[in-house]
Amino acid sequence: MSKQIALAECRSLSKSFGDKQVLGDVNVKIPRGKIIGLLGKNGAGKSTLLKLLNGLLVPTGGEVLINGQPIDIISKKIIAYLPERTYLEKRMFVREALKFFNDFYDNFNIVKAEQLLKALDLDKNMRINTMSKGMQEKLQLVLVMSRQAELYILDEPLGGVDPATRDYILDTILSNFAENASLLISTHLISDIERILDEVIFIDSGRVIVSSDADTLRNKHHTSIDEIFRQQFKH
Amino acid sequence: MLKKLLKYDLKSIFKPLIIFYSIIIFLAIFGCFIHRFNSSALTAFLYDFCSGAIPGFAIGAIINNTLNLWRLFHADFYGDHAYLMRTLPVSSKALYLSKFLSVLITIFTTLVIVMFSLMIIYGASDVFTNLEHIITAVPHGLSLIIMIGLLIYLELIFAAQVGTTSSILGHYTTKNHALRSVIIGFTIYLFASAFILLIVFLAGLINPEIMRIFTEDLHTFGSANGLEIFHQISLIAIIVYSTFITITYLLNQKLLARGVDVE
Repeated sequence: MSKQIALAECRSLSKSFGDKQVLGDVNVKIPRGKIIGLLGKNGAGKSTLLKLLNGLLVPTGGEVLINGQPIDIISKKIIAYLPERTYLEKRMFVREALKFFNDFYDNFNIVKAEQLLKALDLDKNMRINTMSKGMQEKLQLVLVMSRQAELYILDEPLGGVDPATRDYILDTILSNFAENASLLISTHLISDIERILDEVIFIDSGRVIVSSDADTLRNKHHTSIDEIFRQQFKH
Repeated sequence: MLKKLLKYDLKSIFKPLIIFYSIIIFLAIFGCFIHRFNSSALTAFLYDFCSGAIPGFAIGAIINNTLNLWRLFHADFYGDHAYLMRTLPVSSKALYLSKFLSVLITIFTTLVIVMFSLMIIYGASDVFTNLEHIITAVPHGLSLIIMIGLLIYLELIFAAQVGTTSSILGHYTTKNHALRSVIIGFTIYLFASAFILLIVFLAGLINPEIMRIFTEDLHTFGSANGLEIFHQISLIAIIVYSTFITITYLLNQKLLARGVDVE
């Protein structure tokens, strides 16, 4: 039986900025149909890894493969990426942002997007620069989750929102990502997302130190992922 | 996808430009209208104000256009907006080509608006008559006027291209991107200007008439002779600028194809 190609794979991936190595020899496979948590302290290299997976950074060494191929137009069609910053043009109206996504992505469901906007109390006639940071983040989440992607990459989707909203956003993510798709979430708020994770990757100082099935890890250490993380990264 | 990219790029660039265009056209029409009723000191003043303000707003439009093109390029390839644009299912080739076409289209539109506005405001005066004289009386008169227009167009495109090339080269370091980009941009532009001068000098070695601009004062030229020399120099400059623009376009495409890091 042939081995299924990983949805995304990093092979000996490294990234340096000048003399500073931010990622070193990272080997990671993202399987299909799984929710993977990319966990690490601030500055561990999580965002750098996610940017490399999206072709926003040029690797210093190694390679990134999406469905066994280098990053290209086809891989961008199947990946939905939510960065940790606001990337929409601030002078745009919300409805224009929806139209933009609808124009460029065949797999964007504008009806679903409008439903999600309503559910999250976002007015599509608002200008983005008049929205709070939290509202902008929610809008970006709506745009990403309204796509029928194969891989959703969410960089700190829970950062910057209050605890009450975090659960709501998590539920929105879980109930809206495409069937058989994979979800790669980076966060340092582990206790909030632990319950949904199938697999975990711990990253520290640019290196993967743990890559495991979540239940296996919990059973091995007889404790939660959050506690394992605290022990792993204790000062 | 290129059409869609171009649609959004042009929308972004034309938004502030429309304000300049509206002001320029208003001043031109208003000034021309006022000139027909040139019966008082006030109307004369208003006409002078309009005819003086138009070049000022024209320069403002051109500067705004160029700065906006640079801003858009930087935002879409390196800034926060790059997180959206560079994850779209489009090639970097198409993404850059859209920017390049935006340069060609918006600068052309700006120059056309400015030119027609100037023709409207000065149409009431002697300028049209003088222009007619140049076209009919001077050898290659019409082609000279077209070449001047083309030369200005190409020089503005080249200036915009230098900005994008220097931005790309400036981002090959990890620090001080902006400062390096500015220094590289100035260096490229100065080098290009010196190169054009060198080419004209070399042309002067072949054609002694052209060499006269280096050896004699311009006021010693007869008007017909001077225009003929200017015609030849303009032709040389057009060829060189066209070459520069082609080279910077191909260089930028090659550099961007290698991949660039977002900030």
